[in-house]
Amino acid sequence: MKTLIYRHLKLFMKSPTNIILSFLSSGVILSLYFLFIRDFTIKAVRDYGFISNYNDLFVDKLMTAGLLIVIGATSILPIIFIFVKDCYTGIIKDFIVTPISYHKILFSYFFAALIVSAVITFLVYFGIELFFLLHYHDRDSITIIIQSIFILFLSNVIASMLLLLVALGINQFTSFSTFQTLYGVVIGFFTGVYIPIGYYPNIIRNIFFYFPLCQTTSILRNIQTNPITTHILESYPKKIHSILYETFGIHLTVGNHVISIQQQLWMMIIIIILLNCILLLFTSFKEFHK
Amino acid sequence: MKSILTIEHIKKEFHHHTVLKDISFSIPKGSIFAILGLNGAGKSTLLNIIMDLLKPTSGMIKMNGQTISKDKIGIVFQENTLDAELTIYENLFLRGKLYHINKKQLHQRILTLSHEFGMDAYLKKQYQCCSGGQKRIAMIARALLMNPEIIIMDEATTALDIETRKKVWNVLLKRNQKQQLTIFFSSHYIEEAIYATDLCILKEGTIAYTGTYQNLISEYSKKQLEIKMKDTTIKKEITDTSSAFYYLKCLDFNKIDTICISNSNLEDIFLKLVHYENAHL
Repeated sequence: MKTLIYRHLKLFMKSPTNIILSFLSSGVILSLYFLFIRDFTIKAVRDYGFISNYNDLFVDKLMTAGLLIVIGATSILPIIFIFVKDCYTGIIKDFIVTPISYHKILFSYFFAALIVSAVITFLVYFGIELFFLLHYHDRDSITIIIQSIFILFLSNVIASMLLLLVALGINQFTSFSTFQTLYGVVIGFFTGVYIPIGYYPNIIRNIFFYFPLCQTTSILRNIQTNPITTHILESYPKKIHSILYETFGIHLTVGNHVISIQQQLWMMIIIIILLNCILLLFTSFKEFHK
Repeated sequence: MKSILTIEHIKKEFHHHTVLKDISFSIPKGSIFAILGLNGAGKSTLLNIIMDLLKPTSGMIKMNGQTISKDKIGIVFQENTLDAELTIYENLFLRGKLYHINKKQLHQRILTLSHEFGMDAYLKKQYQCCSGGQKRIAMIARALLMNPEIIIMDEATTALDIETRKKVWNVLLKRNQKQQLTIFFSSHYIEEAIYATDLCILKEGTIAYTGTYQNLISEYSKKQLEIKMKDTTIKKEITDTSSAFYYLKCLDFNKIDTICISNSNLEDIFLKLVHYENAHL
């Protein structure tokens, strides 16, 4: 499987546009945020009555956490596209006839996608950290950095598995190209990056709750904004704290119950196991019905 | 002769449509085995089953009396399945690693194959920049990387010109003689069947003929009278020369350009076998 992972990464690296576009798209997403969404969100926080010197830092932390999840999820696309292309051109047959199992072939794309997304996400993350240090003189503690990296990694694992499943389902070159163009935008809305999740109607919020990347965004926002929210909320009564947490997607709720980070992490683990089972089932089904 | 591949009662159905109907034959070790048939006869389906890309509805395939071992079969597909962005060397190296061949050995094997097939000049060339013929040769070299016992070629020489096709066959024939490499191939070119020691002719999912090339020719080749006229050519099977004279009597000699008596060739035999039910030639 190592050879196949190496092959996918080599193909990714062979195309300079892949690498340039991956970083460029991250830059574009961040620039668009600063141009169009930042002021709107800062105003939204103020409109809810939360006025503090930390508002700008809070919004930037909140939004960059969401953007990191989106960047991680979209940086997977070039490798998954290699998978779709391999299926379309018949190159995958050349791997199936080797002693490597179909399951391992499939997972080689998953691991390659994970490596690419991890490298891109972590580089962007450290770039963002540098921005906070230079602009706000704010530096995350080692615990927050480790927790953030862990959540970003978890999010990339889930996104890679999900996208691989989608690619298996679509399995057509042109359809996948169309899907690619919609993917980034849809993920942005699902994670509440473009519009704070509290602005959506209840029914939509309940649907998005079950979207795994919505959960990882919420955990990352919680970790990233926790030291700042304590400053913002210190002069406000405890009963209105939930407005800030829930409107801006730091806490997710089911009914009236707020889901804790521990519960969210368990959910993520169950989702990873479930996705793995679906991939296993799919390969077994394909093996049986070939 | 000992069989390398035994195909036993293979049946394949697609959505209640039977593509292969109880196919059984065996491929002798060290033979050059051609599988022929018109489009839709089931050649590719059978090859895909042997390659483990399709599962038969019933029946089984054994290699040396056991289940198929993938590292002993080299496969050349109809389409190009190497990576366009990589060089031929990189492609061969990566594919070789999938068979757990160590780096040093693999490098040596690539150089040997490159020399055998005359790929030295374009070994470091990007696959997408190679000509159609060079791409095909690289595909055949890829199939031979792990020194397989049998090479399966599905219309592998389709894109090759006559000269390159001959060069490829020379390498394969050498390997067949020196290393007992079994060659199992399907082809559109009936003239390629002359390389074959054994043949299987498929007709609508059933076997129309299986056996040695020599047997086919001696069993089915008949004398035929070929009369070329101004606007048409007539071919008539004859038992002896007197029957030819008897037939010629009925024709108007003013319209005849040439007359010759020859033995029916493989193409004639093939067409008769696949066109007539229970062909008795």
